[in-house]
Amino acid sequence: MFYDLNIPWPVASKTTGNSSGSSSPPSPTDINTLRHTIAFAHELGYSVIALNHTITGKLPAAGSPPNTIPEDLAVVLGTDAKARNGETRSTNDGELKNSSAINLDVAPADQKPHILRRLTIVLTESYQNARLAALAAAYDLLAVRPIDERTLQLACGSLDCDIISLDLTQRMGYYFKHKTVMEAIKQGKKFEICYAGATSTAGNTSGGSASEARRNLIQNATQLIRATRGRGIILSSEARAAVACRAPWDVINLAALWDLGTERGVEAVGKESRSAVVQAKMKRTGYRGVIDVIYGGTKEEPTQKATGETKNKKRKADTDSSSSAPVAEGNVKSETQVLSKTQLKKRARLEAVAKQKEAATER
Amino acid sequence: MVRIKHRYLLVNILYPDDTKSTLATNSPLPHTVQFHQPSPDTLTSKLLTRLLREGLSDYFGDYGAGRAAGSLQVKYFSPATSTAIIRVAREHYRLVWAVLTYLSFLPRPVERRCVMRIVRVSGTMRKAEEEAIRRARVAIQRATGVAKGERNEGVRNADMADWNGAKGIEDLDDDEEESDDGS
Repeated sequence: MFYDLNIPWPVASKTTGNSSGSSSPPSPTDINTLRHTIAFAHELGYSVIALNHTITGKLPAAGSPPNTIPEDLAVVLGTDAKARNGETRSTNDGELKNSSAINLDVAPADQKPHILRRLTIVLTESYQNARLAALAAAYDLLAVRPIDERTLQLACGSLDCDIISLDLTQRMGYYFKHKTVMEAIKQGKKFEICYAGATSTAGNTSGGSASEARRNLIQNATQLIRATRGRGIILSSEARAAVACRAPWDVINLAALWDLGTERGVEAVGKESRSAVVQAKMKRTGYRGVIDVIYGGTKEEPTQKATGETKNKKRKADTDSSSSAPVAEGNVKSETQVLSKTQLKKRARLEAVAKQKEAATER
Repeated sequence: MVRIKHRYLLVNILYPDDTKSTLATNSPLPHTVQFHQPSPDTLTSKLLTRLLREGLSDYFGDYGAGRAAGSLQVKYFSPATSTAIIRVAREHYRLVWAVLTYLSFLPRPVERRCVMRIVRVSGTMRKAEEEAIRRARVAIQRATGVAKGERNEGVRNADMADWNGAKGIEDLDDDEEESDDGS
């Protein structure tokens, strides 16, 4: 099982002054690209894929529903075989929605890719905590993207998130401190390294060249790996197009060159990512240590089972007390206990010797 | 025996973009067939070697190019299956692997975007060849299975797990057989 927890959800081009929270739904061409990327990622061997919706600036107000990734992804993505190839490419949005046959068979011989929804909040100066929990409930994963040292500290400390996703293609003006970073990892938060900065030719967000982005990524990734000692790191793509995706083992090798050991690398695309997903799910569905109620049972069965258990327990307690008694009382009761063969032989020999001695003294 | 130890990288070239031919036909081509396309004839092992050498000096500078390029050789390339076997000294195979990962575009005369996927790292040429043959077989099974609309038929689950590299892709029994010396 390999995980890619960051495939960006296409956000329609922002109008100026508008936060992405109120942006319009993605266009059909964007959806097509996304569909293509998902299919390719699945072909590469990823079985769990998270679509990432990034919100910058103010969180959307309580009244207006945020433009979340829709619940029925299969419908929107139209991962039906016909919808995928050619047919909807030329048609409009309305027809795309009509192809509602939910069939996530990207490659029939495999299982379907499991698609999660993830929210990433860019922690800017004017960040407000109030709506975070309500907003996060609509997603499967909550990630934050700190932009400076102060917000990183906030993310590592008090903020309740699953993934800390730094933009590693930019130059950081600070070092990652082992202490701060470990604080987050102890809480089960994961640090994300997005490798698309190394594989795509797009450059970074602040207009740097591709080579600059790659250099920064390598520098920051090694710094992060040094600070965390390779713990709690997940590797994901952040691929805006299918070309930027790489197969899990290729990513592991890349990370190996960035000082993340192969073992840790395998965990980063597998176990660590899984633990992020599971912990996030636990936060959403669990309640005080109860993970989930799968089957409540009928009214009769639990009582029967309970009595059976108490009986068993009693019996067990009886045997326990009998077995523990001789130890407490010493040799007195040990005669009644079952003795081993060697012990029996030993005793027989001792008795025989004693009898001989008695006979000798009588004479 | 003292010999130069090598690693053989079995590479699959995937083409994530749609080509005109698949767009023109409205028939729903399964994704697995769409991504595993044959390479154009203009892509030769010579071009591949050149790409690798250029990539090495691009990403790892003169030092990396000097260290790894000595033993670098494209042993086998088949445009029909888009499969290549690349030989590299054991010490530097990660560099060459990373160069392949960084590659996302095949320059002129091919001019297509591509993704190189390493599917096996082997200590011997023979193992790499065997794996290439096995994968070609599974690929055909998958493609025909898709065409018939079968699910999980034809391709065993174990084969599929192997395909995705679930159990790891490095098999490093390099002492078994070393058929060639550094030519």
